[in-house]
Formats: sequence, C-alpha cells, structure tokens
Amino acid sequence: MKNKQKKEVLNILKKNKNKILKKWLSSIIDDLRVQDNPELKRELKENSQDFVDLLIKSASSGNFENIDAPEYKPLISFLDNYAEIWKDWGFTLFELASHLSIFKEIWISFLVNELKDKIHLVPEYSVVIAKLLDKLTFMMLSNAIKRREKVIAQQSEHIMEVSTPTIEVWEGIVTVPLVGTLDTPRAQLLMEVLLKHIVDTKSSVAIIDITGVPTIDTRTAQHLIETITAVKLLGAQVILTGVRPEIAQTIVHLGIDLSGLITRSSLAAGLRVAFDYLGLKVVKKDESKEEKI
Amino acid sequence: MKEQEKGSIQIETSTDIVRVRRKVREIATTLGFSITDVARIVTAASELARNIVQFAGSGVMQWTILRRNELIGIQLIFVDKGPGIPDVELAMREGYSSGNGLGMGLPGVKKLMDEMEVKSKIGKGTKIKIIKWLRK
Amino acid sequence: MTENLSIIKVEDVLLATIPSDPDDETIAKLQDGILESMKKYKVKGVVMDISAVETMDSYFARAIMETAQMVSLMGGETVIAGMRPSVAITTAQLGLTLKGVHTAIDVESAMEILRKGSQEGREKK
Repeated sequence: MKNKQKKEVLNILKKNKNKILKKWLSSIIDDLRVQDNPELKRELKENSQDFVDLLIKSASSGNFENIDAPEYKPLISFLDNYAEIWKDWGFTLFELASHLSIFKEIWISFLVNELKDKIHLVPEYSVVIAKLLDKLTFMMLSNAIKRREKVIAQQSEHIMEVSTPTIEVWEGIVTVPLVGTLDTPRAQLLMEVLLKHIVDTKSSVAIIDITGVPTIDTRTAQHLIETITAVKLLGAQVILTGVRPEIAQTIVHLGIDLSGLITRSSLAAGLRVAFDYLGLKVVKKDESKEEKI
Repeated sequence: MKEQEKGSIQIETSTDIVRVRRKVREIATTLGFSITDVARIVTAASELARNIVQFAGSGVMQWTILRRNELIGIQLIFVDKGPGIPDVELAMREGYSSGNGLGMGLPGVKKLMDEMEVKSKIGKGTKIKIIKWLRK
Repeated sequence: MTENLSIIKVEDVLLATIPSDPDDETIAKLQDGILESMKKYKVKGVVMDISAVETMDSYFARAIMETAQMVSLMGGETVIAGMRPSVAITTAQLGLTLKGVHTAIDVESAMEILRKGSQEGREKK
C-alpha cells in the first residue's frame, strides 16, 4: 500500500476523531457498570481519547504492519496498562477485546462514508485497518495472559514453600511433617530446604513424616529415597515415619537397598528413636517434691 | 564486550575433564542457575566427559547457551568417534544398584538434567546432548 | 597439578583436606598419601574433609569408597566430613550411596565418631 493511501486512511481517523470517539463511547456507556458511575465514565472517556491519539501518532510513521517497531511502544504500553485498569473496573479481557473490535468497525464505517466516490478502495483500506487493530488486540491479550501466568507461577511457588516446613523440635532433631501430594517440584524443594536446615543447625537426626501423604508415584518415591540418601551423606540419621501400606509397596517395588533406613508408624514413635539415638531420655518430674510457699 | 554464546572443548585427557568442569561451572553460574543446579550440570558434564576419555579415547564437548523466548538454558553436546554404544536402551535403563563402577552412568546423567538425547552407531561414534533450563 | 591437598596427623587420626575441584592426579595422590600415612603413624582412622568440594562425580565417589575400603583393611575407619547440600543432592540423584563410608556434618563431629569408635551402633550406610 502506498504511503499516500496510508495517509488517507489515517486522515479519515484524524478528521472524524471526535465523532468516532463519541460513537465508540456510546457503545459502552449503557453498560450497567458505567451508568451510575461518573468517575468510571470520565476515565473511559480520557483513556479512549489517549488510545486514539497514540494510535494516530504511531500510525503517522507510515508503519501499519509491524507493531513490534519502536513507534508502537507507547501504544502497546498504554494497552497493557489499560488491560489492567479494565480488570480493576470489573470488566473481562473478552470485553476489552470486543471494545477494540467495535472501534475497528466504527473507523471502517467512517471510511466507507468518506470513500463514497472511490468505493473500489474500500476493501483494501478496510483490510489494512482490520489487520492493524487485530494485531494490537492480540498483542494486548497475549501480554495480559503472560502477566496472569507469571502471577500464578509465583503463587504456586509460595504455596510450595509454605507447605514444606522444617521444624527443629529439639536440639539436633529436625522434623518435616509432609502433608498432601508430594510431586516432583515439591520433592526437589524439600531436599534443598531440609539439607540446608541440617547444615545450618548441625542436626544429627531428621524425621520425615509422611502420615499426611496419601500416595506417591514411583518417580516421587525415588525422590524421597534420594532425599534420604542425601541426608545420610551429610552425616545425619534419617527416620521415616507414617508410611502407609500403599507407599510401602511403591518403595519396596523400587528394589532399593533399604537397610539402614529406620521407620516407625508415627511421628511420636520416631521422636522416641531420635532421643534414644542422641542419648537423651524423657523423665517425669519428681511428684513428691512440692514447692512450699 | 559481546559475551560468548557458544564454544567447544577438546577432550582427551583427565586434565580436559577438569577443564570441562571449570568451563561448565563458569557458564552455569553466570547464567544464574542455583548452586544445586550448577552442581547437577557440572557433575553430568564430568560424567560424560569421563566416558569419552575412558571409552572413546578422544572427543569434544560443544556448549551453547539457549535462548527461547523467555527461557534460558545450557546445552552441552558430547561427540566422539569411539566404538559406540551397543544397546543404548539398555544403557539408559535405570539400574537398581548404582555407583558400582560398571557402565556409563547414563541414567544418572538423565536424572540430573532436563533433556537428554543419545545417538550412537557401532564403529562410528556417539553423540550425547544434554540440556538444563533455568527455573525462574 | 596437585591442588591444595593436605594430609596431617591430628592426635590419633589423619585429617585429609580436599580442594574444591580435585583432578584425577590429586585424587590418586590422596589415596596414596592416606595409605602411606596410615602405615607411618598409628592412627585410628581418616577424616576426609570435603567441605570445599563443589562437585563429586562417580569417579571421585568411587575413589572415596575404595580408599575407605583400603583403610578398613589396614584396620582403620574412614569418615567423610562436611559434604555440601548441593553435592549431597547430586550424589544421591546419581544413585551413589557411598555405602560403607561413615559421614559427619563437620570435622569436629567426624573426630568424635572416630574417637568413640563404632561400638555405639552408629550405622554405616
């Protein structure tokens, strides 16, 4: 498309800017969310104006195709921000995409009007407008989705960290009460957290309690065994407690040498073994001695 | 100064194994891998480099920094013109007893890395590619 | 090139300090050095301080196990001290258990183990 023609397409937008904006806003003003909200109405009006101004500025470069170019950066930035504002207002991404689509239709309708005596140009011109607006819309949606995914990933990591606690129940004894499913990423995190804790506290016993873990697959069982091996390499004794029958089966089927692995049915029983290992004993206080006040 | 995105190291002697470890450690650390992941990658590289010295006599490690969209990874390819691996599937199978000095330790390397590809032809040589991606 | 490997006698045990990334030559010297010193001094055993070691591949692990076996044949005990978490994780993932070798969290605990001997039933892996 020749530059002169591109200029013509853009001029139609420039010339009819206010009318186009008015028509564009009217399409959303009837929405229940906007009706009794003068503040929201005002923001919509301002942002719509900014959008058109930035679009005109970017397209003035003569580039209608490549929205990755630097001249489109301010516009894309604006759209990214607008997507977040829309979310805050309570609108969906679909609604924003539809809103941009309506702008496209309005611009094209004004184009058809202006080119009444050059009707043969309408198909080519409207395709150019449609392509540009579509690309901008897709970019806006894609960026918004990427942002959401990033948040989800961060939250997942946070959840993992919070649900993998290591507790030093006594000097030299660290326990890890696991709850829920132990998948690969969690198992790897567990290994690193537990080992670091053992080194930091110079613990000699680690009790890994899996009472709260219903089942684990072969891969995860392997991770668990690796964790136990790694802890032993640090010189600490491992006690595995709360092994359910299903998990016992999975572990045995791995065919690993389990000699040297101490297991108990409960965390309490494991604690008793740990104390014994450290040469400690729990003794009842002498009840015959009473404080004379 | 433009940083190097790829390179190679000739492997023939045990000293070269150390060179491989040093280079891989440098790259992995610079890319920002965690201490544990650096240990994993360096150990995997050491195992494969040693295999070359032990079974093939000589070979080369080609390293590349991968950049796919927002993902960053380290790719190491170990190539040799040695005797080749007779049964790759067998060599890759998870053994029950490990560390007993037998075999090439390929299952272990696979566990340490994210991706592993083994191509081998008897009498022609072996090509092993390993990749680890940076976890954000 | 032999990096900073040192084997010294501390009371009645040998303390071998291993550098961060020992090459094959250093590992060989480690083995020879330990066995010679075992012969020279009347020591209870060897503490291998690997707190500086950043990478342990299967070759290194095997060398340690071999050394421990030899020390045992000569009537002594071996304790590996100060393994880094990253090394422990990698070694475990490689499937190496270092069976038959004692491990301790640091040199001090390692000395304790050798001093007390293994009559307290502290399990060998």
